[in-house]
Amino acid sequence: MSSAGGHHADGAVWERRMVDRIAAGDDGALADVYDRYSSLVFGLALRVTCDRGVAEDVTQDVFVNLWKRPDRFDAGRGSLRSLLAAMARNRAIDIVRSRSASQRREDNEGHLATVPVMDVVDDVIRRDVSDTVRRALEQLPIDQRDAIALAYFGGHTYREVAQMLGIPEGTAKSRLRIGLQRLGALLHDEGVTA
Amino acid sequence: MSRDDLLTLLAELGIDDQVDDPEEASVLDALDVLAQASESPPPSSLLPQLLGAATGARPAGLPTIGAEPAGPLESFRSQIDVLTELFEHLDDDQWALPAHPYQWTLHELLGHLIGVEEYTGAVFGLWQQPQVSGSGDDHLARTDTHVAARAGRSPAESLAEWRALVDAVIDHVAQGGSDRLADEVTYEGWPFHVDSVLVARTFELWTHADDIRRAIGDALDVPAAPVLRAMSSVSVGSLPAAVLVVNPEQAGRAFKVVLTGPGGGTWQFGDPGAAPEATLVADVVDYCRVVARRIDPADLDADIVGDRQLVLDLLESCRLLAA
Repeated sequence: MSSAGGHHADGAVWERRMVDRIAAGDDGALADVYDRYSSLVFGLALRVTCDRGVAEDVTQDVFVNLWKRPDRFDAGRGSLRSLLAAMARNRAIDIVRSRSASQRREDNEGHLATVPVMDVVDDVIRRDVSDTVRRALEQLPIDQRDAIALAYFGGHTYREVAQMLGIPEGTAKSRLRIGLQRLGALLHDEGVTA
Repeated sequence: MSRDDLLTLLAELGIDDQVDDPEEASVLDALDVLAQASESPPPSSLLPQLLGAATGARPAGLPTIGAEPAGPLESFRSQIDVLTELFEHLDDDQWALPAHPYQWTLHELLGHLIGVEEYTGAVFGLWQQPQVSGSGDDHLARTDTHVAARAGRSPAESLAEWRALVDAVIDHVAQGGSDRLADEVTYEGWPFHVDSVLVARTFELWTHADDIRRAIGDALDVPAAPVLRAMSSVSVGSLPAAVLVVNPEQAGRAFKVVLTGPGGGTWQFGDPGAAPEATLVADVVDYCRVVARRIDPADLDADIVGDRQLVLDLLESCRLLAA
């Protein structure tokens, strides 16, 4: 028997134990997981949706879904952190797409002006990204920077990035990969490590 | 952000086909920094709101698998069926194998079960209390004469004798319905309701089925989740009273028991809203084996948070059910 608080256990072991406890109906374990990962989930949702209220809804959805379906976590396929991040990203993207579709319908009816997507992404980067990362992004060629911004900060798939920038999918993938490589090198030069 | 997170993201970006390339390390570094740069704490009001929504969808305490416990008679009958099948498939040599941890053969173990069933029927009012050779509340001594009597009977005769007693007990309870399940009886010197006796007997039958499996080299087995849920619920539910027998100073303490795996659950005792002074987290099957005295509390793979002595007293008290 061990007398240990769960937070101090090894990460993967801690995650598995927390999910087992959630499956057993222990809402205290859900609160513990929330304490550890809510900033990640909320931050991701906020980055994609640019709306604190919607990001809160996404965060609640993610953790309530974990409570309802803890069996979705399979330690053999990745960490709980990864699962929660993917759930947050997917839910946020769904909301943004739904909102975009709704806005397009309204645009077609002539009620609302279109907000250029890059303006929204730029706004996110200005608000939510550290100075160091922002400086590094600004040093990238504009085509790579736009691709990364749309994919990572805008929550779009590379196919959508290709469509939005009017470039072939292969080109979009290439810009993302090369851009991220350069970004990594720039951050490394700045002495930034995660 | 972990490497897993980064791989997930790269997959979503459609560039996961080269992540094993060492040159991709800079991609991972970049994404790592980007992710951390965007972490942001939600408002403090979100957690209670979220917990309310979660427990509205599935109440706290209920497991995702086996939330609805099997009825006491159904639980008892399920393990009778398991034992019957095990006994029916023993060959002549296997009946003579030792039934650890007892000094019996498997045939004599069946004799013990005959004695227990005769005692149970008497407690339930089916027939007169049998004369016993040992102390009236001694579970093993009470069945000494039944164990010794196996020498004059074949396994087939013993099996038929046991089944007749079992069927009589099952019929008696089934015909009495819910009123009979709520009857108060004194079993092994303790006050019980009939339904709790049946669940305690389920523990015993499962444990002896595993004793037989060990003897013949079969893998151990676990009851279905609803049966385990019935067993774990009765056992954990008895802890606030049982712990007073082990250590009266633990009266009224607030504690939480989390049993993981199908048929487990979460139970909290003490003043409503009070933070637990101790939490025990263990696998439900392992816990049930502690109750059945097949795992020593000191050997239980468990997490304890808070007052360790309280949890040790709880684990000692849960074994009273199998005394």
